[in-house]
Amino acid sequence: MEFGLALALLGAALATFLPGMGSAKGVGLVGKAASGVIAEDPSKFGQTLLLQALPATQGIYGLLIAFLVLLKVGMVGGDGAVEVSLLTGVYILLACLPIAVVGYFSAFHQGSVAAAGVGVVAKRPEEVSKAMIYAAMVETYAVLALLVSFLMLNGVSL
Amino acid sequence: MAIVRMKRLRLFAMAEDRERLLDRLAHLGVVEISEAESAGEAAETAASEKLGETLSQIVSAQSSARKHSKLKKGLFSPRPEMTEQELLSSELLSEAEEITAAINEREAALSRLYAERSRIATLRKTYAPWEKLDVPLDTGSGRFYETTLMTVPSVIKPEDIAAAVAEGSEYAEPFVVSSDRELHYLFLISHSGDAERVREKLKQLGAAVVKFSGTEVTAREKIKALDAELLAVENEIKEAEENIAVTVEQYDKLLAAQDAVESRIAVADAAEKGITTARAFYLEGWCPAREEKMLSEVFEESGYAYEFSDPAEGEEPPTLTYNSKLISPFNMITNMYSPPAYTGIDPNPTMAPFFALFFGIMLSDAGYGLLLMFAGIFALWKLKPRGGFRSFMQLAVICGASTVVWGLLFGGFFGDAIPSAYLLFTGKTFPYDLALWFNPTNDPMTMLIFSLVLGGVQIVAGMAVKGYMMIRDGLWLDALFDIGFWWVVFGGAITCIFNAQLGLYVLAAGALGLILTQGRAKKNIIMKFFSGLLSLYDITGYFSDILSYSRLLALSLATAVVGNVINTMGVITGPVCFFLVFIIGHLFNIAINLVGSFVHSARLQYVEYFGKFYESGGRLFAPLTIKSKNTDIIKEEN
Repeated sequence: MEFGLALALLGAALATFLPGMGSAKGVGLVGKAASGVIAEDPSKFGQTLLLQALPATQGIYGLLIAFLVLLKVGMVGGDGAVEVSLLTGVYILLACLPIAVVGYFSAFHQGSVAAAGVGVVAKRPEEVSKAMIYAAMVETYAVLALLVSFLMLNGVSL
Repeated sequence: MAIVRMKRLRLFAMAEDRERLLDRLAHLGVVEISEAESAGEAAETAASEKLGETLSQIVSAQSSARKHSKLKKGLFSPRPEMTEQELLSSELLSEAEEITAAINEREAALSRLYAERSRIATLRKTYAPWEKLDVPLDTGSGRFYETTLMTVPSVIKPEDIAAAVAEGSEYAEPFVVSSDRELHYLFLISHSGDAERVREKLKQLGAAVVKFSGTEVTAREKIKALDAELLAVENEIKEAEENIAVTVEQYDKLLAAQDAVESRIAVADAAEKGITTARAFYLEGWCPAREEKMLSEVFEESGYAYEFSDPAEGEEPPTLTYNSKLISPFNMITNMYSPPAYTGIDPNPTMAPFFALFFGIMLSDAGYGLLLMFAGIFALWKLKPRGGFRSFMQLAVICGASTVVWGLLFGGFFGDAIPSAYLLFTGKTFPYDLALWFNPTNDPMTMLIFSLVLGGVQIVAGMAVKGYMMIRDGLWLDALFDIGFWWVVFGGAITCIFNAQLGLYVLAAGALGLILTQGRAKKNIIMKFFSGLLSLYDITGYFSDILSYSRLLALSLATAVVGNVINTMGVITGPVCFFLVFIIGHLFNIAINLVGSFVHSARLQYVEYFGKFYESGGRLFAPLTIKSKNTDIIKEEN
């Protein structure tokens, strides 16, 4: 019984830290590129901040799934921990994997695209929305992974 | 509700009428001047270069005025109001030039003072290490003694200095006045005869002689004098900075003058685009067809020779879209992608409802929607914005309203704030379901199906627009083959859900139609068949397009669940912290999801919807107008 809970928590941990790491990396990449632009023209702060926020969402998607897991196993809210069978634990762990893995990689790549978009802000600030759309194309897969994780988790009954 | 029809304008006027004509056109603001076949003369360029110089002076004067004045001019103060005549009057320009000249003069004085300040500060640094020396800096030598100021690298230990001095002479004494990270500052007194030898010994350690020739006061006195000087300069700087400060009226003049100069530059550029000969001026341009009558009257009155004609083959007229007030803010979203080609179709009327709908579903929180709406209304009311920002705020109001509707349908109000607050303050679970329709967090499958159905609707709508374009161009058979047969396939697939057998027959009929017609461009009968067969593979394209709309579910979940997480954290921290967690948390959630909802709604339009029919690559209509970025022009009868 205890082991099932441990697996569920492992799932929550993975869903938090992998996309979180990816987002941190992505946001960091954009931040570095943006600082160079700001040194030249501080008025572009708002636009670059928008680009920097884009790869931040994967971390939030991961947190969202992790939180749903914690809610499910009764670690947050409710009336304390519920019993999680070994098999249920495995299910929950598997449900966390899509967002954990895709979240990590898509955040990193979205960060690279958004960082390149900072160059667009430097040269043609009026075209920032196009750079944002490019970055959003990468996010599509994180959105799909979030969806699958959510549906899987929703399907697991305790 | 469409792309405005354009007319080509060709016009001859007398050369001396050129300025009057162009000023008039700028006033009317409905004609885009295009480059006439042969270029203008060089003399014109000089005129617009001079205007450009004036403009940059005015702009830099504005920025130094902003830097030094405490202008009580916030975000919310209104723009200066004036009539067009006032804006373009020479008085305004000369006044602005006076202000600019005064500011530039004071700015120059100020930069001289800044230079003086840094000179004194640097000088002070050279005296600072000797501050503790009680004798004048240039003590020099007497009959039996000689004094020297030296610096020794700080890596040398004081005892090594003493040893080196002792080695040079027994009648010598070094005093270390001060030390910093790089150097020891040394005062050396020695017998006249041995002085040179001692210095040599020290130089072997890397020492250097320092001279303050003629300074017969101590370093401390010198520093005191410099400090006094510095204080005086500082005061002067403060005074000069205050001097640069301008009144709000003067600043407004500068803003208006910027508009005036930019308008003049536009006119000068237009003059260059036309052709001026000794007697005549020739101009080409575009204007909306609906302005033809009004322009004819104006030209007739002034006796110009003119001609309006329809765009010829190969000419590329600029694009101007004309839409109702509710739709036109969405033009901005299309223009971000690329303005429609003149020969294409205006996508805005059909795109706008989808954009607002999808945005609302993705954000789906009545609380957030209300905030967005109020922010938009407030900005429109207080800032009276124009151009892109105005469209943006109008979008905020429209999309905010859509968000409120979907928030109510899905039961989102700052996440689950009402049930959470109820739980926090009564300790009981909230007994009602707030969702007017259903709650996607509890029933994600319904939401997924709903999302995909909406996707299907938009895809079909996109194909319908394409079909309309084909029929408009007389290609009704192609419309039947390329769109109609696919619809039969779709219809069959949907029918399968209710009646598998019938559905399959319909689907097969559609597929057969596609196989028979999609290879029609090929010559060879076998190639026709294979092209037709291969076209069925496009079904994967439609399939992935529709699946892409699952993001409606994912993003609405993201808003709702993160909102719920914030509320749960608030409940855990207790009543006092609840509000703090609530405010910070929801602000964060709004910011992240606002960006996400906007970008992803735009993506669905650009990739999935526009991909079906949109002809992009137009050039926006940019008529010659009076520029009024900083001013509100008061309309007057002319």
